[in-house]
Amino acid sequence: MSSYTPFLIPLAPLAATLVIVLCERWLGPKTYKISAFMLMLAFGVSLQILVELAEPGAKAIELSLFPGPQGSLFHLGLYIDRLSALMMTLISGIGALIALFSIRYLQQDPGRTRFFILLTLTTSALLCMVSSPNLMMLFIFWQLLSWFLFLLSHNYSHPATVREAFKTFTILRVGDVAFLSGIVLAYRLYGTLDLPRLFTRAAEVQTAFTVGGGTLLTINGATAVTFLIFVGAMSKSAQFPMHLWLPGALYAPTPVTALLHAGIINAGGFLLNRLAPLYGLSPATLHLAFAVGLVTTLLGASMMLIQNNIKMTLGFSTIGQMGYMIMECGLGAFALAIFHLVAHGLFKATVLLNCGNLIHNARQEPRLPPKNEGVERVGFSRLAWGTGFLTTLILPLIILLAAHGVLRIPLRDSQGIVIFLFFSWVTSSQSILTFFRLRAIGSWKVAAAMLLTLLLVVLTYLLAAEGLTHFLYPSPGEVARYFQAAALPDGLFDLLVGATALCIIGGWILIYAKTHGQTIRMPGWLNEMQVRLYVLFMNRLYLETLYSRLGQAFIRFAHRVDKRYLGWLP
Amino acid sequence: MIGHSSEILLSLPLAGAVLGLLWWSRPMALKIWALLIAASVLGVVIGSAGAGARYLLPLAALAAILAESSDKEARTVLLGILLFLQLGLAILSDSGGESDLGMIFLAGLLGLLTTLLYIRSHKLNGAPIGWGSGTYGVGFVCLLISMPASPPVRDGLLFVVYAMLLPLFPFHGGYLAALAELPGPLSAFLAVLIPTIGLHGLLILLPTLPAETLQAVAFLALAGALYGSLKALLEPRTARLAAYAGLAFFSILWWSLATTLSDAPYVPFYASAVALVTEGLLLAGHGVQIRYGDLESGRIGGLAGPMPRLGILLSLLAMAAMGLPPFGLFTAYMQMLMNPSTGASWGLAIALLTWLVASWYFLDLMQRILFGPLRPNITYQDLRHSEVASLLIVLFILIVLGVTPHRFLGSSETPKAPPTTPVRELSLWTE
Repeated sequence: MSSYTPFLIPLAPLAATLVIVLCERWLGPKTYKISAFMLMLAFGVSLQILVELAEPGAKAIELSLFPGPQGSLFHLGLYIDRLSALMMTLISGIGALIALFSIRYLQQDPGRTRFFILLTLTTSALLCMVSSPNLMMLFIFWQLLSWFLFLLSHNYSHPATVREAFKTFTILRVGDVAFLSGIVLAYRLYGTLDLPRLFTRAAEVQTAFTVGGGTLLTINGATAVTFLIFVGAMSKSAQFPMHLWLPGALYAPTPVTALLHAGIINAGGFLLNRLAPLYGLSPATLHLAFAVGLVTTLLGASMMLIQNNIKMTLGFSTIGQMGYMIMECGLGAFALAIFHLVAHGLFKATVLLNCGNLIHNARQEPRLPPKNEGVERVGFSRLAWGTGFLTTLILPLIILLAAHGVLRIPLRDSQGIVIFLFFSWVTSSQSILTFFRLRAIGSWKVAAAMLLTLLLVVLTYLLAAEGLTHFLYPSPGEVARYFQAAALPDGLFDLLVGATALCIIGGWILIYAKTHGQTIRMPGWLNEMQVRLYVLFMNRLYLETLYSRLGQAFIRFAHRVDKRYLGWLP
Repeated sequence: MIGHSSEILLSLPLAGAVLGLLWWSRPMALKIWALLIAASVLGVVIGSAGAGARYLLPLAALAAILAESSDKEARTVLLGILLFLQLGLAILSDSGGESDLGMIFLAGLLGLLTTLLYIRSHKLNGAPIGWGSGTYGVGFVCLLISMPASPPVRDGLLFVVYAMLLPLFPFHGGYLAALAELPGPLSAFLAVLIPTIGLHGLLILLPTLPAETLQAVAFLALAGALYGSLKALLEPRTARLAAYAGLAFFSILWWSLATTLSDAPYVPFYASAVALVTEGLLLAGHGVQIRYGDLESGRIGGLAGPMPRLGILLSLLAMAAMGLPPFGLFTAYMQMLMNPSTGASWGLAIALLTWLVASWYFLDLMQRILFGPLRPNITYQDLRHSEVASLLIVLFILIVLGVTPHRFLGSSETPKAPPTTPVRELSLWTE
């Protein structure tokens, strides 16, 4: 492979843009096929590089484009390590699939050319972003993504999309400004924006950031920088309370939504991973990330359950998943967040590309369900419940005790390992709950499905935890340092684990009772609260109304100030 | 010292304007003649050493002339552009900035602006004297008084004049009126010329200003940034919005100059980027205005569909105005913010706020003009080729400024990195 071959990855989609712009008039729909081919080419090269970098001892690829003077702010180039290569493979792969899908899906759509131009440009910007050798280049493409997303998510003759696109860009821009503030501060404190040097300097230089001469506030420099950059990541990854743009962006055509969910929204998770060495220096920001992720997960998942529109449901599901991903970063499990990001990207791209067909089919002539549906036996199955109880409550306990007693892993001092075990337990419990609700057939099939689910989840987490961690962070002790930095106070950690465990067990008990046709007596206030919460989540916590009113109030206030105090000025 | 090429520069546009009277009855021929003159000036500037920001003036003039129509009303605008180009080049050729010749040309510029704004104001509103003509009239008087005066008084008076040209709150009335009230392409050219002249003089005057004055300037600049942003946010008309945005962005430059006391490479580069963005927006606004009248931007919408050329070019201009890459304003803004001598203070926060609010009002402007339902009672007509060419020139320079600023302006783009020591403390919000 030539030393400049990696440039093909971001340049191939860009070339596709040029082909569409310049040749669409003559070549017609063939240009779309060419653009899909270009994206596949980018995918092929990315995959090849990923394979090469997976070799033990392989070094990251560093290439400069227009190398400027030493210390130049605007140094463009490529920095492809394993993380970048993995992200590039994901982005170009999903981009190529979306392009192939859209050729037929958008046939005869008047906006097809615009869509393909923006798709290839967005893919190119994403690829450049994930391979940036410095924060400035990363920020350049980060901002371009905000702009392309605005252009992709609106239809200029449809007022609702125009309004939502405005909201999307405004929220993303707030994040951009915070990100820029972080970059400015990092440059002032450490004197460089080149990532490897920035990490070295940040580890060497003790910095303090004072407000009001130190009388008001003194913050660690790394904390201030990572906090500001984290706000930027929050905006792109739709974290509470900056998540409002995502449901609005769902007005866009299905391929756009797929690209958004599978590629653009992962930018926040990627950013935290890319800057993991910096975040490892700031436990406070990691704790904040954990808290924000936790709140986003809870709210996103709750709101998802109540939506009555397939795209909205998927949108809020993505918000919940992004919260999960940020929470993992906040716990120091950066590699796990990447695994989550890749898995979620592939899953959501598939689901969203398919949901257009579902909607289309649903709009066809109404069709009665097949007669054999509804004959499913509803009732209590000892076998199913016994297996569920065993797999979700007893087996994890045995694993935990074995890890603690037999393998002598000091669980009290290793929050990271507990988190992995806990995640696998929560995920498998949820999967089994879901399976059980879908199929209440008491047979060995259900029992086998439950066991397989548990096995699959545990193996996947083990693979992700071990394989991806060693793949992405091969330096010895690096991962342990992140876990140590992210460690929560023991009491709080125990409380969180205990509360979640109680929720899972409580869920099991409720479903068990329901299956038996029994009702658990709830206090009146709890039932009332359930209804109120339902209404609250149905209306998405009224946050959209609140933001809208705040915006209007600000404009009214500005008009009043202008008329009353500034009217005499030119 | 005035060189050979400068002598040509000093005479070419004026000669062009005078000879242009021969084509007074043939507006199209006059437009071509004006284009040839501007292109010739550009050729001479390229051929001369140390051209710096002087590239901008003929390029901006070319863009403005191309955007002008070729009807009878355009004749005075075309000759006006050539006259202003003449005055601008003459002032910029005076490298010392305070020679008698330079001062005379500057007085000529202020006098011409005062007269034009007075006539325009009288014609449009019937007002005896407007903010614009009043401001530049005062500037003209200040300049006349400064000529025989000695340093502290002279510097103070010149400072007021430059604060009117490179708009500083509350001396910005003239700049605002010139951009919002004069005919489209002329105002677009002035959006580049006036601040360029102001910055040229200010950079010479800056080292002589006392610290107290600079502190007051920094305060006024931040007030101006907030004021300009607020007014732009509420302004429905494109030209006035562009002018207020220009005030906000130039205020940030004033703040940077007052706090760093340096003519760092990004200073002319930033000023050029802001001026060009303003020119582009005014030219695009003019394109809409000549077709549908001087309406508020919300009254005419949905132009993206029937006017795709306008749609694409205005979107790109909005990108540039919002400070997005790869345009010059983004690069210049980054250099300013990263400059270690720019204080980390409330000023920095206001600079970032200005940038954020600009995204809001420029996006709103773009959406109001381009998006929305079509009106059945309107015949839509897209931009003409010459109008497209004029906007492409502006965008091209903005991209060149954004990608290779040092090649265009002949200066290094690299700011000095701040020194790093093992233990550092960065105090914010205390300055």
